[in-house]
This record gives sequence, C-alpha cells and structure tokens, in this order.
Amino acid sequence: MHIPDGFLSVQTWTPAWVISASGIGFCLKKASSDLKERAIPLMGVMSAFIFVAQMINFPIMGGTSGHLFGGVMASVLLGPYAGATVLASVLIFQCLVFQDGGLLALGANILNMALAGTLGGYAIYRLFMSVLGSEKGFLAACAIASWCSVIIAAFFCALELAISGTSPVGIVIPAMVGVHMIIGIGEAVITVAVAGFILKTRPDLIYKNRIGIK
Amino acid sequence: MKRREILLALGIVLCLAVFIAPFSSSSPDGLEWVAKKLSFAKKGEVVPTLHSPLPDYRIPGSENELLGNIAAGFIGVLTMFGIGCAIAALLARQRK
Repeated sequence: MHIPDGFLSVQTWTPAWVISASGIGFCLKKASSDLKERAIPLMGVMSAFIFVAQMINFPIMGGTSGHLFGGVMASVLLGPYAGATVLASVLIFQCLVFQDGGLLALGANILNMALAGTLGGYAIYRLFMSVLGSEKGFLAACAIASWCSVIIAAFFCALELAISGTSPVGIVIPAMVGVHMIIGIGEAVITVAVAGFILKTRPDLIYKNRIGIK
Repeated sequence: MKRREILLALGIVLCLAVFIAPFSSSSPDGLEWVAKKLSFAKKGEVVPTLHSPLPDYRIPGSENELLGNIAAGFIGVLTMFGIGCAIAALLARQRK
C-alpha cells in the first residue's frame, strides 16, 4: 500500500512528513538505548529480507495481490523502535531508487507502515504475550499482531485519502480495511512461519524473549 | 548471529530475490485495487516528483523485465543489508 504522488493533498502530506520525521527521530533515540551490539547483523539481514519480501506479491481473490509488509516481524526480532527504523529505511530506499511510493507521499507511507502499523502491531503483540506467554502463545500473538498491523496501516492510508478529498470517508475506509483483512492473512502466515523458525533455531534472537531458550 | 548464519540468511534472501520475486503476482495491490474500484486511480498518474534510477524495479529502456527485476533484487538486498548494519552500528556506538 505504497501511496503514489497525486493521491494526497498538500494539507495531508505536509503534516504526515512532519509527524513521521519526528516519529522516526524518536524511534532512533529509543533504539540507540536498547539495541544490542550483537543485533547489528540481524538488523542488516532483516532490512534485506523485508525489502525482498515486499517485492513478492502473492495473488489473492478478486484479481488483487498483496505482499508482506513486515512491521511485526521486524519488531518482534529487533524491538519496536529498531523495527520501525528498518521499515522506514526500506520505504525511503524503495521510493528513491525504485519510485515505489511517491516522494511527497513518503512521509505518509512512513507514518502508515513504519510508525502506525509497526508500533501499533508491536503493542498488540506485547499485549497478547503478557496474557499468553508460552511457545504456542508466541505464535498466536505474532499471527494476531501481524494481521492487525496491516489493518492499522490500511486504516491510516484510507484516512489520509479521505482527508485529501480523494475518496469519501464512508467508502474508502471500508474498502481499504476490507481488502487488507484478506491480505493480512498472508502477512500472518509468513510472520508465523519465520517467527516459528527463529523460535526453534535461535530463540535468543527474539527481542526481550524468555520463552523457548534452553 | 555467527558469520555462517549471516551468510546463510543472506543466501536465502538472495535466492528469494532471484528465483521468487521476479515471478510474483502482477495483479494490482490492495491500494491500487481500491483506487481502480473507487475510480481515483487516475489521480496517481502525475509526473513523478523525482526520477529514480530503476523505476518500478525495471531497467529504464530495457524490454527485459526479468533482468530488471533480478538486478533490482540483487542491488536491493545488498544495499539494504549494508544500510541495516550501518544504522545498527551507529546506534550501538552512540550509546557508549
């Protein structure tokens, strides 16, 4: 859901730029206090993986397609602030080198996916982990949180389209949220598969994890 | 992560970029689909604010879409790995 230029009005993309710039500044500050030295290569691998995963569109019904957005996956491994930073750097790179998402709309794309989707999704993951907290609970928390993260990002995107006068609010929000409820299932499946594999092989790589470590 | 694990993970990611990504679905994504259905897709057909070196993951002027996709994937994976490590290293150093 990379918004191209032309969909958003100046009154929408300007504040979105301001919010996302200060939001990412805040995330960088927070990440520097909790990112461990040993997470350096993990952050590199995660950035590369999310970039590729976003190139892989899987078909869903009705002639549309979706791809992993990866906010919950990145934040489950790196923590929310480094996770949001990874998403923002992927979005900036895609915009500058591949024209994927508009330059004016970049602030909005960072706000929707790197900030709202990733941080919101991570908050839901923590909430479910505090209740469930077992190995199976971890996978359930990843599934629910990653599904929700797509819906949150789609909702923010729809809201910006409505504020811009691109489409009426009562129409664009159900349309965007509806289609992303299906795309979110793909997000949940991939997130659970990757998170489950890491839990089995290197549970110590999971951020603030206490489960599955022998 | 051990050196062996990093290389293995990068190898898997590169394989995804070369063997899977070029053959992914070309159907419109969620937002493009909604834009078409609610007929505001045309608003996105503006002159882009900047000209990227590899627009839409293709080599400009080349008919070979597959080659462009693979090139984009390769460049993207290696660059993003570098950027991710660099940001993490800077953040970890700043703390000290």
